[in-house]
Amino acid sequence: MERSVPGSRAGRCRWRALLTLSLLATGTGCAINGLGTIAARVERADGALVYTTYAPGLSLRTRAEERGAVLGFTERTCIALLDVRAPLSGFYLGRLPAYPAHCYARHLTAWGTELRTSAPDFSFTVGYRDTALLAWVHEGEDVSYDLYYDTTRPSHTHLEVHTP
Amino acid sequence: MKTPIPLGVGLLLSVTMLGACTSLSKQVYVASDTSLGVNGAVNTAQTAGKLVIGYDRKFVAFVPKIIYEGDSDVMAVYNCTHLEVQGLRITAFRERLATGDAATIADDGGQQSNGGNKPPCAAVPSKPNNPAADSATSATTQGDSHGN
Repeated sequence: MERSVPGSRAGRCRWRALLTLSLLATGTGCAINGLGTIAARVERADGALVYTTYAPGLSLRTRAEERGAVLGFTERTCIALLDVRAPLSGFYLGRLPAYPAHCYARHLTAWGTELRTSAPDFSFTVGYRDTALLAWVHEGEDVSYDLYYDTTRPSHTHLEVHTP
Repeated sequence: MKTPIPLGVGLLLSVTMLGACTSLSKQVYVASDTSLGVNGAVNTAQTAGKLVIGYDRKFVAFVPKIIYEGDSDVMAVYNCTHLEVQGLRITAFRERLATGDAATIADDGGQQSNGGNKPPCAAVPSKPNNPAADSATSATTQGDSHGN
Protein backbone atom coordinates (compact mmCIF):
# COMPACT_ATOMS: atom_id res chain seq x y z
CA MET A 1 0.00 0.00 0.00
CA GLU A 2 1.33 3.37 -0.98
CA ARG A 3 1.99 5.57 1.97
CA SER A 4 0.76 9.09 1.54
CA VAL A 5 3.27 11.81 2.18
CA PRO A 6 2.54 15.50 2.49
CA GLY A 7 2.52 17.04 -0.93
CA SER A 8 1.80 13.81 -2.77
CA ARG A 9 -1.44 13.29 -4.65
CA ALA A 10 -2.78 10.74 -2.17
CA GLY A 11 -1.89 13.00 0.73
CA ARG A 12 -3.64 15.96 -0.85
CA CYS A 13 -6.75 13.85 -1.46
CA ARG A 14 -6.78 12.73 2.13
CA TRP A 15 -6.47 16.28 3.42
CA ARG A 16 -9.18 17.45 1.07
CA ALA A 17 -11.50 14.75 2.31
CA LEU A 18 -10.81 15.72 5.91
CA LEU A 19 -11.32 19.38 5.10
CA THR A 20 -14.59 18.66 3.30
CA LEU A 21 -15.83 16.62 6.23
CA SER A 22 -14.92 19.37 8.67
CA LEU A 23 -16.58 22.04 6.55
CA LEU A 24 -19.64 19.86 6.20
CA ALA A 25 -19.87 19.53 9.95
CA THR A 26 -19.30 23.16 10.76
CA GLY A 27 -21.17 24.43 7.72
CA THR A 28 -24.35 22.55 8.49
CA GLY A 29 -24.14 23.07 12.19
CA CYS A 30 -22.29 22.43 15.37
CA ALA A 31 -23.79 22.15 18.83
CA ILE A 32 -22.70 21.20 22.31
CA ASN A 33 -25.63 20.24 24.50
CA GLY A 34 -28.01 23.21 24.14
CA LEU A 35 -25.53 25.63 22.61
CA GLY A 36 -24.90 26.14 18.92
CA THR A 37 -26.93 25.20 15.90
CA ILE A 38 -29.77 23.55 17.68
CA ALA A 39 -33.50 24.05 17.99
CA ALA A 40 -35.92 22.86 20.61
CA ARG A 41 -39.60 22.18 20.76
CA VAL A 42 -41.20 22.21 24.17
CA GLU A 43 -44.63 20.81 24.86
CA ARG A 44 -46.46 21.05 28.14
CA ALA A 45 -48.70 18.05 28.39
CA ASP A 46 -50.70 16.17 30.97
CA GLY A 47 -48.25 16.14 33.85
CA ALA A 48 -45.29 15.93 31.47
CA LEU A 49 -42.85 18.24 29.84
CA VAL A 50 -41.74 17.00 26.44
CA TYR A 51 -38.47 18.58 25.48
CA THR A 52 -37.24 17.76 21.98
CA THR A 53 -34.08 19.09 20.38
CA TYR A 54 -33.08 19.02 16.73
CA ALA A 55 -29.42 19.34 15.85
CA PRO A 56 -28.02 19.21 12.30
CA GLY A 57 -24.34 18.70 11.67
CA LEU A 58 -22.04 17.91 14.53
CA SER A 59 -23.65 17.69 17.95
CA LEU A 60 -22.02 16.72 21.21
CA ARG A 61 -23.78 15.54 24.35
CA THR A 62 -21.81 15.72 27.56
CA ARG A 63 -24.39 14.70 30.18
CA ALA A 64 -23.24 11.51 31.85
CA GLU A 65 -26.39 9.52 31.08
CA GLU A 66 -26.38 10.34 27.37
CA ARG A 67 -22.81 11.18 26.51
CA GLY A 68 -21.93 10.98 22.84
CA ALA A 69 -21.62 12.72 19.50
CA VAL A 70 -23.40 12.67 16.17
CA LEU A 71 -22.28 13.90 12.79
CA GLY A 72 -25.45 14.11 10.75
CA PHE A 73 -28.80 14.88 12.30
CA THR A 74 -30.05 14.26 15.81
CA GLU A 75 -33.51 14.35 17.30
CA ARG A 76 -33.50 13.92 21.05
CA THR A 77 -36.52 13.87 23.34
CA CYS A 78 -36.65 14.01 27.10
CA ILE A 79 -39.87 13.44 28.97
CA ALA A 80 -39.77 15.10 32.35
CA LEU A 81 -42.17 15.94 35.10
CA LEU A 82 -44.06 19.17 34.54
CA ASP A 83 -43.47 21.70 37.25
CA VAL A 84 -43.97 25.42 37.72
CA ARG A 85 -40.49 26.24 36.46
CA ALA A 86 -41.01 24.41 33.20
CA PRO A 87 -40.61 26.54 30.05
CA LEU A 88 -43.66 27.48 28.04
CA SER A 89 -44.73 25.40 25.09
CA GLY A 90 -43.23 26.54 21.84
CA PHE A 91 -40.40 26.32 19.37
CA TYR A 92 -37.08 27.71 20.49
CA LEU A 93 -34.14 28.64 18.33
CA GLY A 94 -30.82 29.96 19.46
CA ARG A 95 -31.23 30.36 23.20
CA LEU A 96 -32.86 27.21 24.49
CA PRO A 97 -34.60 26.80 27.82
CA ALA A 98 -32.82 24.77 30.47
CA TYR A 99 -32.73 21.07 29.77
CA PRO A 100 -34.69 19.02 32.33
CA ALA A 101 -32.57 17.70 35.16
CA HIS A 102 -34.30 14.33 35.24
CA CYS A 103 -35.88 12.51 32.33
CA TYR A 104 -38.35 9.70 32.98
CA ALA A 105 -37.87 8.52 29.41
CA ARG A 106 -35.62 9.41 26.52
CA HIS A 107 -35.94 8.97 22.79
CA LEU A 108 -32.96 9.50 20.54
CA THR A 109 -32.93 9.28 16.77
CA ALA A 110 -29.72 9.81 14.85
CA TRP A 111 -28.92 9.83 11.15
CA GLY A 112 -25.30 9.81 10.13
CA THR A 113 -22.38 8.77 12.28
CA GLU A 114 -22.95 8.40 15.97
CA LEU A 115 -20.68 7.62 18.87
CA ARG A 116 -22.01 6.84 22.34
CA THR A 117 -19.85 6.66 25.39
CA SER A 118 -22.43 6.33 28.12
CA ALA A 119 -23.73 3.19 29.81
CA PRO A 120 -24.83 0.54 29.13
CA ASP A 121 -22.34 0.29 26.31
CA PHE A 122 -19.90 2.15 24.16
CA SER A 123 -21.11 2.08 20.59
CA PHE A 124 -20.83 3.61 17.19
CA THR A 125 -23.28 3.64 14.34
CA VAL A 126 -23.00 4.66 10.73
CA GLY A 127 -26.46 4.98 9.28
CA TYR A 128 -29.60 5.22 11.35
CA ARG A 129 -30.29 4.53 14.99
CA ASP A 130 -33.45 4.89 17.03
CA THR A 131 -33.29 4.33 20.76
CA ALA A 132 -35.97 4.69 23.39
CA LEU A 133 -34.93 4.45 26.98
CA LEU A 134 -38.18 3.72 28.75
CA ALA A 135 -36.89 3.19 32.25
CA TRP A 136 -33.62 3.36 34.06
CA VAL A 137 -33.81 3.11 37.82
CA HIS A 138 -30.90 2.60 40.13
CA GLU A 139 -30.90 0.16 42.99
CA GLY A 140 -32.57 1.48 46.11
CA GLU A 141 -34.75 3.99 44.30
CA ASP A 142 -38.46 3.73 45.01
CA VAL A 143 -40.35 5.08 42.06
CA SER A 144 -43.81 4.58 40.67
CA TYR A 145 -45.10 6.23 37.54
CA ASP A 146 -47.28 5.79 34.51
CA LEU A 147 -46.05 7.34 31.28
CA TYR A 148 -47.55 7.52 27.81
CA TYR A 149 -45.82 9.16 24.87
CA ASP A 150 -46.80 9.44 21.22
CA THR A 151 -44.03 10.77 19.01
CA THR A 152 -46.51 12.20 16.53
CA ARG A 153 -48.58 13.91 19.21
CA PRO A 154 -46.30 15.02 22.03
CA SER A 155 -49.02 17.21 23.48
CA HIS A 156 -50.93 14.01 24.29
CA THR A 157 -48.14 12.81 26.57
CA HIS A 158 -49.27 11.71 29.98
CA LEU A 159 -47.08 11.35 33.04
CA GLU A 160 -48.41 10.43 36.43
CA VAL A 161 -45.95 9.99 39.24
CA HIS A 162 -47.25 8.25 42.33
CA THR A 163 -45.83 9.28 45.66
CA PRO A 164 -45.92 6.94 48.62
CA MET B 1 -48.38 -0.26 8.89
CA LYS B 2 -47.81 -0.89 12.53
CA THR B 3 -45.69 -3.84 13.39
CA PRO B 4 -45.85 -5.64 16.70
CA ILE B 5 -42.57 -6.04 18.47
CA PRO B 6 -41.58 -9.71 18.43
CA LEU B 7 -41.03 -9.82 22.14
CA GLY B 8 -40.57 -13.54 22.14
CA VAL B 9 -37.54 -13.01 19.98
CA GLY B 10 -36.57 -9.69 21.45
CA LEU B 11 -36.38 -10.98 24.97
CA LEU B 12 -34.09 -13.76 23.92
CA LEU B 13 -31.20 -11.45 24.39
CA SER B 14 -28.05 -12.02 22.50
CA VAL B 15 -24.99 -13.03 24.40
CA THR B 16 -23.45 -9.69 23.70
CA MET B 17 -26.44 -7.85 25.05
CA LEU B 18 -26.36 -9.91 28.17
CA GLY B 19 -22.74 -9.00 28.44
CA ALA B 20 -23.66 -5.37 28.08
CA CYS B 21 -26.20 -5.73 30.82
CA THR B 22 -23.67 -6.99 33.28
CA SER B 23 -22.83 -3.40 34.00
CA LEU B 24 -26.47 -2.86 34.89
CA SER B 25 -26.78 -5.77 37.27
CA LYS B 26 -28.34 -3.65 39.99
CA GLN B 27 -30.44 -1.38 37.85
CA VAL B 28 -33.78 -1.62 36.12
CA TYR B 29 -33.34 -0.94 32.46
CA VAL B 30 -36.02 -1.03 29.78
CA ALA B 31 -35.08 0.08 26.30
CA SER B 32 -35.66 -0.38 22.61
CA ASP B 33 -32.82 -0.01 20.15
CA THR B 34 -33.02 -0.11 16.36
CA SER B 35 -30.20 0.41 13.92
CA LEU B 36 -29.77 0.33 10.19
CA GLY B 37 -26.28 0.46 8.75
CA VAL B 38 -23.16 -0.41 10.66
CA ASN B 39 -23.42 -0.68 14.41
CA GLY B 40 -20.68 -1.73 16.76
CA ALA B 41 -20.80 -1.84 20.53
CA VAL B 42 -18.82 -2.99 23.51
CA ASN B 43 -20.03 -3.15 27.09
CA THR B 44 -18.62 -0.79 29.68
CA ALA B 45 -16.66 -3.63 31.27
CA GLN B 46 -15.18 -4.32 27.82
CA THR B 47 -15.85 -8.02 28.17
CA ALA B 48 -18.27 -8.41 25.26
CA GLY B 49 -18.93 -6.69 21.99
CA LYS B 50 -20.81 -6.93 18.75
CA LEU B 51 -20.73 -5.74 15.19
CA VAL B 52 -23.90 -5.59 13.13
CA ILE B 53 -24.05 -4.71 9.47
CA GLY B 54 -27.56 -4.15 8.23
CA TYR B 55 -30.69 -4.10 10.33
CA ASP B 56 -30.92 -4.82 14.01
CA ARG B 57 -33.67 -4.34 16.55
CA LYS B 58 -33.70 -5.18 20.22
CA PHE B 59 -36.11 -4.76 23.05
CA VAL B 60 -34.45 -5.15 26.39
CA ALA B 61 -36.22 -5.47 29.71
CA PHE B 62 -33.55 -6.02 32.30
CA VAL B 63 -34.46 -6.37 35.95
CA PRO B 64 -32.13 -7.22 38.83
CA LYS B 65 -31.69 -10.89 39.53
CA ILE B 66 -32.76 -12.39 42.80
CA ILE B 67 -29.52 -12.66 44.67
CA TYR B 68 -29.40 -13.65 48.29
CA GLU B 69 -26.60 -11.87 50.08
CA GLY B 70 -27.30 -12.40 53.72
CA ASP B 71 -30.09 -10.13 54.82
CA SER B 72 -29.57 -7.55 52.11
CA ASP B 73 -32.58 -6.32 50.22
CA VAL B 74 -33.26 -7.18 46.62
CA MET B 75 -34.86 -4.70 44.30
CA ALA B 76 -38.55 -5.30 43.64
CA VAL B 77 -39.87 -4.28 40.24
CA TYR B 78 -43.31 -4.14 38.71
CA ASN B 79 -43.23 -3.14 35.07
CA CYS B 80 -45.56 -2.98 32.07
CA THR B 81 -44.34 -1.76 28.71
CA HIS B 82 -46.41 -1.13 25.62
CA LEU B 83 -44.53 -0.23 22.46
CA GLU B 84 -45.77 0.79 19.01
CA VAL B 85 -43.47 0.80 16.02
CA GLN B 86 -43.96 2.02 12.48
CA GLY B 87 -41.19 0.99 10.14
CA LEU B 88 -37.92 1.62 11.90
CA ARG B 89 -39.22 4.26 14.24
CA ILE B 90 -41.01 4.02 17.54
CA THR B 91 -44.27 5.92 17.31
CA ALA B 92 -45.61 5.52 20.82
CA PHE B 93 -44.97 3.81 24.09
CA ARG B 94 -46.51 3.45 27.48
CA GLU B 95 -44.50 2.60 30.53
CA ARG B 96 -45.86 1.72 33.92
CA LEU B 97 -43.11 1.15 36.43
CA ALA B 98 -42.89 0.69 40.14
CA THR B 99 -39.83 -0.24 42.14
CA GLY B 100 -39.19 -0.94 45.80
CA ASP B 101 -42.18 -0.76 48.12
CA ALA B 102 -44.33 0.66 45.36
CA ALA B 103 -43.72 -2.49 43.33
CA THR B 104 -44.97 -4.68 46.13
CA ILE B 105 -48.11 -2.58 46.45
CA ALA B 106 -48.67 -2.62 42.70
CA ASP B 107 -48.28 -6.37 42.61
CA ASP B 108 -50.97 -6.65 45.24
CA GLY B 109 -53.34 -5.12 42.74
CA GLY B 110 -52.95 -1.61 44.04
CA GLN B 111 -55.31 -2.25 46.89
CA GLN B 112 -53.27 0.06 49.07
CA SER B 113 -52.64 2.77 46.52
CA ASN B 114 -54.69 4.91 44.19
CA GLY B 115 -57.85 3.84 45.91
CA GLY B 116 -57.45 0.23 44.88
CA ASN B 117 -58.60 -1.61 41.75
CA LYS B 118 -55.41 -0.86 39.90
CA PRO B 119 -55.62 -2.77 36.64
CA PRO B 120 -53.16 -5.58 36.06
CA CYS B 121 -50.45 -5.23 33.45
CA ALA B 122 -52.36 -7.09 30.80
CA ALA B 123 -55.14 -4.54 31.02
CA VAL B 124 -52.90 -1.53 30.48
CA PRO B 125 -54.26 0.29 27.45
CA SER B 126 -51.91 1.80 24.92
CA LYS B 127 -53.33 5.23 25.56
CA PRO B 128 -54.60 6.73 28.78
CA ASN B 129 -58.38 6.93 28.99
CA ASN B 130 -58.68 4.97 25.78
CA PRO B 131 -59.18 1.29 26.52
CA ALA B 132 -60.25 0.71 22.93
CA ALA B 133 -56.79 1.36 21.61
CA ASP B 134 -55.35 -0.99 19.06
CA SER B 135 -53.80 -3.51 21.37
CA ALA B 136 -53.39 -6.04 18.58
CA THR B 137 -50.59 -4.02 17.08
CA SER B 138 -48.66 -3.65 20.22
CA ALA B 139 -46.71 -5.66 22.69
CA THR B 140 -46.92 -5.68 26.42
CA THR B 141 -44.34 -7.06 28.75
CA GLN B 142 -44.76 -7.85 32.35
CA GLY B 143 -41.82 -8.11 34.61
CA ASP B 144 -41.99 -8.97 38.24
CA SER B 145 -39.02 -9.54 40.48
CA HIS B 146 -39.10 -9.80 44.22
CA GLY B 147 -36.70 -10.32 46.99
CA ASN B 148 -37.00 -11.01 50.63
